[in-house]
Amino acid sequence: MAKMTPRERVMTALNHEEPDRVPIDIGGGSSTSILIEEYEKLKKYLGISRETKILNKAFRIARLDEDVMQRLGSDCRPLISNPPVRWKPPPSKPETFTDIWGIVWEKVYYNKDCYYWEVAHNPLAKASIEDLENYPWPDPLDPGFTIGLAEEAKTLYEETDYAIMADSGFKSFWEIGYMLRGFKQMLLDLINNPEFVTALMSKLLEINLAATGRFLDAVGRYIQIFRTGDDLATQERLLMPLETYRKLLKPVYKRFFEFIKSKTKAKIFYHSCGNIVDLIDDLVEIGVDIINPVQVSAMGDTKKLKARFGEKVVFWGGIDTQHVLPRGSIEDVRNEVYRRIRDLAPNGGFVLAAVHNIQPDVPPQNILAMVEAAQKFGVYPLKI
Amino acid sequence: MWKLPISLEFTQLSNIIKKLNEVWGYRVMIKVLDKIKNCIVELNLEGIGEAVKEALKLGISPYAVLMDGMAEGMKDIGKKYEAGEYFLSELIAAGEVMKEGMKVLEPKLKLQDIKEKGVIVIGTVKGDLHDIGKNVVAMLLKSAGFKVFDLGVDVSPEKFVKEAKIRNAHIIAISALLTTTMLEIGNVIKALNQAGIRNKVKVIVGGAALTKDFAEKIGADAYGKDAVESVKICESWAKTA
Repeated sequence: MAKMTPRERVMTALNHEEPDRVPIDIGGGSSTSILIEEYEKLKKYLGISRETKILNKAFRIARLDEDVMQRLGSDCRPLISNPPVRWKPPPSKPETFTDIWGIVWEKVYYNKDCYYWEVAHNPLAKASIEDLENYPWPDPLDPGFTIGLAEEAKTLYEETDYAIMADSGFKSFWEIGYMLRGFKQMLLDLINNPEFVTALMSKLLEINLAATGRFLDAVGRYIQIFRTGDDLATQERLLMPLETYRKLLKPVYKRFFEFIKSKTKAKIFYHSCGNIVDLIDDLVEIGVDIINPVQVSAMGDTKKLKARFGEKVVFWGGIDTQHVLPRGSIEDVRNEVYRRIRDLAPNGGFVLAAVHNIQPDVPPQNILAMVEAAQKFGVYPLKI
Repeated sequence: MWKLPISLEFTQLSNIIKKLNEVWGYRVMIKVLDKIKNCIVELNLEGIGEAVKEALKLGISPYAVLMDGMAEGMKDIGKKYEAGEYFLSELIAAGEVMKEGMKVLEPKLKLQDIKEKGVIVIGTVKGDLHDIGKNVVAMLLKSAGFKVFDLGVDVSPEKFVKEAKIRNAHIIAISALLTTTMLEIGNVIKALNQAGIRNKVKVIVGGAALTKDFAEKIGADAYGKDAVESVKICESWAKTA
């Protein structure tokens, strides 16, 4: 098959056809990238010395350099909204910061050099429905978010041939909701105070629609993938009964996805960790085109997954980062890539990526082994 | 017309009435214990306090209210979770109902009432703040009759050891969510070894990134796949069945 451009490759796969090879995403978005410390290890391994740029502060994800993404064969490039100009972060205690939603994050070290930002304060923990009206919500129309963004998108679209993955920064409902409210309280609200959940979701919808509208007016015509996502499952099953999701959350996502589709031809990418098998039909029904990260350690047999949902939805991810990437040998990584391509890639509909951001416990050799195996086994027509 | 047999003396009659009353009272008691159990199973946060008060008023012992009412309810919650009928949201909500009931019950419970199955020290390892799974396990262990000391999150190996000694623990339950923090579990087990108390305790481990193999490799006694399974394992180690 004639060699395709990365954008053609991704779009062909997203349209459920076989491109020249399985597309690869490393660095395209905030669930398919590399943590700062790990990226520094990788650069050192590749003999590159350059300061690391940040893609997402709270998740501590690196913005991968162009030459590294080329070396890794990544077919996707990120396009994210810019910081606000009308809002300045309030003063914070050392080792903490407050984000635009008023959620406070603190540093938690898991060894002497590495840390995560974890949510330390939920500002709506004790709020009533009435309190939601007076809360200092972020201004979705802050001009900062889209300053220079249309030009950036146009340049990416016209001067490169990569698939553009867009992130408006305003795309989450359940997760932002529980960070504001507290995870446990939000789960309790589903049962004891569903009116509050509905009121909070409506407020978030209003904000997300306004910000996303502005964002898509600027970049909608240039992008191929629109990132959304909210974790809705544990490794065993959904966080809540399907009926609860259908009643309290699904209508909000439905409205949001319809709005996105009215503004762009981009495919809707939905990220949820955990075992979301029971949710896939509902997601497809309300407009989701792509599911990520396909947490293979939780979702069962990937061959069965493909047989059941492969015609309806694109799988994006699939390379285990809970066991194989951090603890496996190079041979284990190759076998994992081989297996997922065999299971998920027939007839297109698969973009290969690590299940979630690659953490500092992964040997750089394993990252290279993953992309090399993907380029070797991923050539269509598949010979596996 | 029906007549009392002449031979039936007054004392016998009063005994029968007493017996009938006892049986009736017993039925009322069972009914209210059922009510308590149902409050938990149906996640009825409003009803539980009143139901517990009603039970105590009838003279049911606080310990019976706990074990024959609330603990029975939590057992059913576990079964429903295993059957896929209940989810994390229901487990958390059941825990809250239990807590609400305990507000009424706890002041009446005497320490010697609680026939401890064993003492468990539980916590999430150093560097890890994830506690929702650990909290569910702790709650289910408490309602199964264990004495549970929850050390919270970000717990150092030294703290695990210190608390295990102070509390005279017979089970240590260690949780970690992340691939980057799960190795810390091994350090807790090493610290228990170094302190010379490893052979005095059983160690159960759990958390998203863990596997049975990993648990074996680091020298744990058991791996709990989920909260319900973890409780079953601890029950199998219980001092009193």
